[in-house]
Amino acid sequence: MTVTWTALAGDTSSFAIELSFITDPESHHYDADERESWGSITLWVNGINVTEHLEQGEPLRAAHWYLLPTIGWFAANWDPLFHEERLPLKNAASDAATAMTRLLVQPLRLVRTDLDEFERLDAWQSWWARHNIVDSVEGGIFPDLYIRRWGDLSEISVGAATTPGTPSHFRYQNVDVVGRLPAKFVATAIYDVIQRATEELARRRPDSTRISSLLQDIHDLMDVDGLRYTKRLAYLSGVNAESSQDVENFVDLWSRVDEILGTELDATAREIAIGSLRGGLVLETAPQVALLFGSYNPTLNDNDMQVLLRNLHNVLREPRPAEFPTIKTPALPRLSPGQEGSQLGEAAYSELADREAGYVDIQAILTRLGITHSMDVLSDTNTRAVSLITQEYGIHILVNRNYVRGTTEPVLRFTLAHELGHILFDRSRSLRMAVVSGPWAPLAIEQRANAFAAAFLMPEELLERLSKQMSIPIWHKKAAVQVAARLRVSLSSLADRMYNLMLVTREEANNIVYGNR
Amino acid sequence: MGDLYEGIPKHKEPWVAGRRGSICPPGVDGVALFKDSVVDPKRPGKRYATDGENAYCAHSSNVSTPSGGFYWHGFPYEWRRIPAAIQRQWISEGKITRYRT
Repeated sequence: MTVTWTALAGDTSSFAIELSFITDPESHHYDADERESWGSITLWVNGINVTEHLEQGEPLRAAHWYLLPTIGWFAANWDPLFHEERLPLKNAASDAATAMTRLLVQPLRLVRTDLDEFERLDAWQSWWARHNIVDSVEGGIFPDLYIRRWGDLSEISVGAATTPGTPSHFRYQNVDVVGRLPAKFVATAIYDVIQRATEELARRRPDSTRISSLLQDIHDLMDVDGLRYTKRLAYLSGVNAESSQDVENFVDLWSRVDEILGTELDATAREIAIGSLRGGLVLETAPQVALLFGSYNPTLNDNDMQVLLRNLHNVLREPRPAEFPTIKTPALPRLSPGQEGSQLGEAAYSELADREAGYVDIQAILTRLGITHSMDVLSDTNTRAVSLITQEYGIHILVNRNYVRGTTEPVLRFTLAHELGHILFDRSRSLRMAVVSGPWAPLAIEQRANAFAAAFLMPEELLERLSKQMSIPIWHKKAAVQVAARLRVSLSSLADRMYNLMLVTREEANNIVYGNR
Repeated sequence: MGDLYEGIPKHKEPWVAGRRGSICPPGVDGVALFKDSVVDPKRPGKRYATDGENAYCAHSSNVSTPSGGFYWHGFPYEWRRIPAAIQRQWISEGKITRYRT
C-alpha cells in the first residue's frame, strides 16, 4: 500500500483529523470516484487516537475505506453536526454515544411519546444518520463515533457498537471516549481536511461532476451570505430542522420572540438574546433564547415562551452583579457528577455560608451575590427552575410554580441551591447560559447540581454538629425529622444525603422517608 | 432491470490488513438475497435483504452492466440501520416477527 496524499488538521493533543489516500491494487467493479478516494482516516479526541485498532494482532492507527462518502457525509450533515444538541426521543444519558445505545437497549416501544414504535425507530435512525460517522461507510468498519453540539462546544463521543461481519480479530482499542472542545476549533479542523482532500480528488478526476459538486458544497459551508443561519438557529433551539414544516414553525416563533422582547433593549442585550445574521463555518455562541428553547421541553407553548422571554427581558436590563467568589475545590480526577457536585457543595458552603448559623440561608447568600429570583408558571411540571446567566447583565433564577414537587420552603431552598450550583460551576459550557433544570438539560450537569444542592444545604459539618445534639442516632426517623426541620430541608433530601455519605443504608434511608420508626 | 449482483473482495476472506470491510458469512447466497431485496426509500443506491436472522445491504457500484443496469455488491448490515418502514414491511410479510435493532 502506498500513501499518495495526506493532510492533518487540528491538534493531536485535543482534537485532530487526518485523511490519507492510498493506492488500492484490487480490481473489481466500483464507482470510479470512490475508488480514487480509497484511504484512511485517523481521529484524535482528548489526545486519544480513537481510530487505532487491532487487525489479526497487528496495531493499525487508522480506519481504512473509501473516503469520498465520508467527506460527503460531513458536508451534507454539517449544520446538525455542529448545531444540534437535542437527542431524539429522550435525554437518555450525558453523552450521545451512551444515550443512543441506551435508547436501543431500553426498548424504543417503552419510550413515552405520541409516536408508534416504528416512528420512534425512524426518529432514532434519522438522528443517528446525522451524527454517527458510521452512516458514511457502506461496508467498512469505522468506530462508533458521534459528533453533536454541546453548549458552545462540540461533543465527540465514541461508543462500543460493532459492525456485523467484523472478524473477531478486529477490535477498536479506544471506546467510551468523550471529548468536548470549542465547536469552531473542531469544525475548522474538519473543514480544512475535507476541503483539501476534495481539491486533491478534483485534481485527479477533473471531469467528475460528483467531486466538483462536493467541492462547491464544502465551499458553501462557509455560509458567506448567511443563508444557513435560520436552519442553524433552529438546530440550536432544539428544532429538528430536517423537517421543513418544523423550520417554518420555528421561523414564525422566532419572529414573535423579537416582538415580545420589544424595543427597549440596547444593542448588546439584543445580540445576547437573539444574535444577529452572520455566516461562518459555525455559530460559535448560541443566542440565549436559542439556549432557552433548546433545553426546555419540546412541548414549549405560547405561555412558556412569554414567561421565559419576559424574564430574559428583565435580566437584560439589570446591572451586572458583583464578581463571584472563586470557590477553591480539591482537584480529584475521575469523579462521577454526583461526587463532583458533593465536593463543590461542601467547598461552596465553606466559602459562602455563615458557619455559625444552624442552617444555610440560601436567600441571603443569593442576595449577597446579586442573584435575583422570582416565581412564575411554566407548563412543564418536570421543570424545576430556569437560570438566566449573562456576563454583561444580571443573573436571575426563575422558579417554576408548577413544579411537580411543589414550592414548599424545603423544595424552594433546594431549587435555589441547585440553581446556584449551575450559576457557579456550569459557565464553561457556554459563554451565555440559560439552564433549564428539567429532563432535557444535560444529565451530568443536573446530577452535579443536585449533589451540589444537597451538600451545600446539608454539609458534613452541620450534619455532624446536629447529630451530636440528638439524644437518639440520626438514622432513627424521629431524629432525622428533627434534623431536617433544623436544616430546613425535606426528609427525603436528608435521607438521600445521608445515604450518599454512607451514614445510613438504603433500607434505613427508605425507613426515614416511608417508615415509622 | 439489467442490474447484476457481483460480490467484491473487500467483503471476502482472506483477510488483508487495512484492505477489508465487514466479511460475509460463508455460504451466504448474495444473488438470492439481492433478488429478494428492497430499495431504500430515501437512498436509491441501497437495497436491503434478510434471511430472517441477519440483515444485509447491497450497494450500487455505479458501474454500468452490458445490459444497461448497474453492478451491485453486498455485505452484512446493522439491524438498527434497516429503515423502520422496511422493517414494518418485513413484519407484514412474515420475514421477521418484530422490529430489530
